[in-house]
Amino acid sequence: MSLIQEISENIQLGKAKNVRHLVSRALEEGIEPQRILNEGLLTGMLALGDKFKMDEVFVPEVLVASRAMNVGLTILEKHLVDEDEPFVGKVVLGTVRGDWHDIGKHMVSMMLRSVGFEVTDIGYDADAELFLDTAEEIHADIICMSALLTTTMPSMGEVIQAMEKRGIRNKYIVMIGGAPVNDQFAREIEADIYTSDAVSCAQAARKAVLEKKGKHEIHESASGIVK
Amino acid sequence: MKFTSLQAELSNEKILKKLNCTMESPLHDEFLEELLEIKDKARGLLRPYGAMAFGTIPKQIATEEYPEGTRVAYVITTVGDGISKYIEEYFNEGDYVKGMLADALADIYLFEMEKCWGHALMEECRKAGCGISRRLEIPQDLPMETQRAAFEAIGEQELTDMRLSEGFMFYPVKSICHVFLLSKEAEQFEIDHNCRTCHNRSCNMRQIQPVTLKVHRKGSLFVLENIGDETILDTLQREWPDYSAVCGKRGTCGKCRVRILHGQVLPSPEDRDCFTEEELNAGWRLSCKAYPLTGCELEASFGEEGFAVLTTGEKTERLGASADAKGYGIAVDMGTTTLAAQLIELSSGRVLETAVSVNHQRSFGADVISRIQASNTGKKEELRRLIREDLAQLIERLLAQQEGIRAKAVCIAGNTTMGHLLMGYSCETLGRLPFAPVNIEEIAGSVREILGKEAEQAGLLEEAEVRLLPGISAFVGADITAGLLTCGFDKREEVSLFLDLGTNGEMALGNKERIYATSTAAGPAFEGGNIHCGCGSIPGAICHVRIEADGNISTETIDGKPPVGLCGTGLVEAAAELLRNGFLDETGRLDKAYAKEGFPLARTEEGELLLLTQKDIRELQLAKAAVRAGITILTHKYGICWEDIRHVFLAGGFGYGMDLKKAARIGLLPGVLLDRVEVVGNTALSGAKLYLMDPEAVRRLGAIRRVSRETALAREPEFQDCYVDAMYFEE
Repeated sequence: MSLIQEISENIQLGKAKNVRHLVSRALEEGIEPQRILNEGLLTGMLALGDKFKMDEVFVPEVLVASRAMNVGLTILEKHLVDEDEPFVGKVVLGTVRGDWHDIGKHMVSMMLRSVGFEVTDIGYDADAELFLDTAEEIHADIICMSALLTTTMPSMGEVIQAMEKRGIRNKYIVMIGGAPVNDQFAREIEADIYTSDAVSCAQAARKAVLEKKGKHEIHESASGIVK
Repeated sequence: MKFTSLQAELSNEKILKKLNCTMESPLHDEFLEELLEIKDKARGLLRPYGAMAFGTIPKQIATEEYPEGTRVAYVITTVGDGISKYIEEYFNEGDYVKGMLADALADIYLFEMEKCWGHALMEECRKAGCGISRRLEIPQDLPMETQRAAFEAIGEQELTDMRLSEGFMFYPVKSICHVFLLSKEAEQFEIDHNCRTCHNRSCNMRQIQPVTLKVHRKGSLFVLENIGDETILDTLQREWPDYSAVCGKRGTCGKCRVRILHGQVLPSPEDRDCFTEEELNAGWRLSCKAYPLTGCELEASFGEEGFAVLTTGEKTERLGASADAKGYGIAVDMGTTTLAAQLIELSSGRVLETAVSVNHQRSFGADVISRIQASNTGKKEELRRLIREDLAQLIERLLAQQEGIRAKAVCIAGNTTMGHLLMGYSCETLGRLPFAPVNIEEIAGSVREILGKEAEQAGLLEEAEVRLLPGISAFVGADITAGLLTCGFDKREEVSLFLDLGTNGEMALGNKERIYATSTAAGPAFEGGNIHCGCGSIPGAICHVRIEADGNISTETIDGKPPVGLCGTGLVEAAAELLRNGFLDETGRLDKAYAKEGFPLARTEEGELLLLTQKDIRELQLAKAAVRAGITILTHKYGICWEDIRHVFLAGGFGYGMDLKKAARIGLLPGVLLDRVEVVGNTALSGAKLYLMDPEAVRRLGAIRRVSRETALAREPEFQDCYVDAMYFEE
């Protein structure tokens, strides 16, 4: 097994110590940091995402894998040079106005970071202004909203209406999620993507951003990520 | 009233289970260790408090079921906001494991507190002279706004430091609101959460209580119990193990539909694909995906009662009946889907009686693979019992009307899997390498040995002999050898092709010197399976389709009955006609106008549209590509070209009465062979009959088997290419 493959395997097993050791060794051996990131860390995380979707692994496995991912990323960060692309894209993430739940959102944040996004978490009870101002400021690719209550779901629609008003609707990919949300609701408020869990969210986010940027996915997924 | 003392127990295992980390999880110990690290600190941060009040449902939240003024008890409890800040810290640090563990700990504590205040609530009810008839859930039973009503009813002074958001959510976040429906019965306390009415199916803490299903079936009412998280189909199959599940409960074939008359069953995503809005409102559900929320009354068994089974064998004139044979015998076609049997006068070959039935093993899936899987997972004896019962009933029916006639011999032709299931052989090696049958030779024995005691009272002579025809391999069974016998392959000089197209596309190519035989996994499309409006060859099944250039559609059905569905023959014809008129391109894509909803072929008597969908076309493509690739490979292997095939025998129910030109148009059959196709009917049955009567049959079948070789298509290097090429709708 190549060193890169070993990194991917250890990410999937959530072996943080091994990942730290293996990433350092890979750097010593002169493997480009970008390659370690893409083919080792990210590929490992995406493969684990597939297993999650197939019910082969559960939340605990994903949690420890993301921890191993964090360790790997921290070491790599210092070595990535200007031309490297440490992030696939940028996301503004928040729980909408009137809603104070954010455990689910934390899981989404974790997964998005683990598959290569730079995430700006604007917390909970976030109104349209905050979502849009932040998105404009950081030049985000995706606005990602969560709502845990039927009563706060409409706040998601308000954010989209505010985008229309500012004339920036098409500038961003709008993703939504949360217990009461579904595909139909996403269509009603004209959000771009609905996903039912954090792992699907991360995979769909990659797919959408890569497509928009005209790039190819690094990991050939069993669950439909377009190559 | 404020609750005092809310000291609950905290079980480590419950906390871990909340995260789906059970004892079996490889990460269990690691997570337990981390939980123990934070447990004392987290627990110390909990500030549990809560309060309750009696009240009524105000106008803003009233529903039809729970109108304004309904008497309820409101309860709000919390563990304070300290724990939320603690959780937040871990998340901000990026330690999601500890964050999630602390979160689960807080939730479990909130749930467990119920045991403490539950008693206090009951005490208050007793004092007030009322009971509790139900626990109401938010937002299923009552809207979110109920949380405000509860907050106001209890009063801010009892709920220090608690606030309400404009979305009616509490701060601290780790708070719960409960509403209980009061009743006049003082000693009734139904306060526990009912997981069945809870929508959170993926909840790791889920536990389901049984409910009653009243089932109308075949004019009778049955009372059954739906237990655990099982579907309605699961319940039906516990009562009737033969209840049909054609697609193996994948929610794709639509054959297990039931109609809910009373009670609540939410439509599944599969229901939404299968039924229209009106049908859903009328109560139609796929029982394999239906979880009852309450007790239900329903109609079941709209199925394929009265399967039209082909019992005509066009080639029976070849029978070499010998005049000295005396008595009566029974020939049986033991098919995967259907069974057919004939009572025969041995001296003349005259058919005295014919009986057909569905193979009740269908409840374990339509194809042989699902039967093999069922057999290998502990259902071997049950499958054997089902087929024995079916055969016993068939024989009984054959003899019931024939006074004084008892049969002295039974000959059975079936595929290798069916033979194994009847004999009670292990199917372990049929479904995987080395794909070796336990016994592929002729099997002969007494009634009791082979058909079991089920058949002893069926009217056979005590000394009757039962024989199973021999096959060639795991994939090429006695149904094929019987066909080859019927078509006289042991005498043929010219190379001929034998095709039997059902769930398994079975075929053989050769002559008396050399025969290659194979079986392809065509899937159930040719038998109407996995097709949106698909059905078996039943009266009313659309079997002929004609589409004019102006889009005018005319259809013919079996027996001329009003249309009920589309059988395999109709499917092929429909596709061919769509193709001819440009509604379908050669890659199998339906015209844009029909891509989403499907192409309307006809209406049922009730006015329901019978649609041919894009997915149906894809199923057909897979099936026909498998068959066509099989024919191509056999031909290549034989080292001949299409022209060298002098005769084509098309056997089986599918293809009977089909417009062969249409089969060629979609590329199912090579066009050059059309002028030499002979439709030969049910050759498994006629082969079994030959075996019964013709003293030469054993020798002849032996000759056929000696020159036959099985070709494993999957192992042929060119199969994949042929298969993909054959996917296109081209002549």
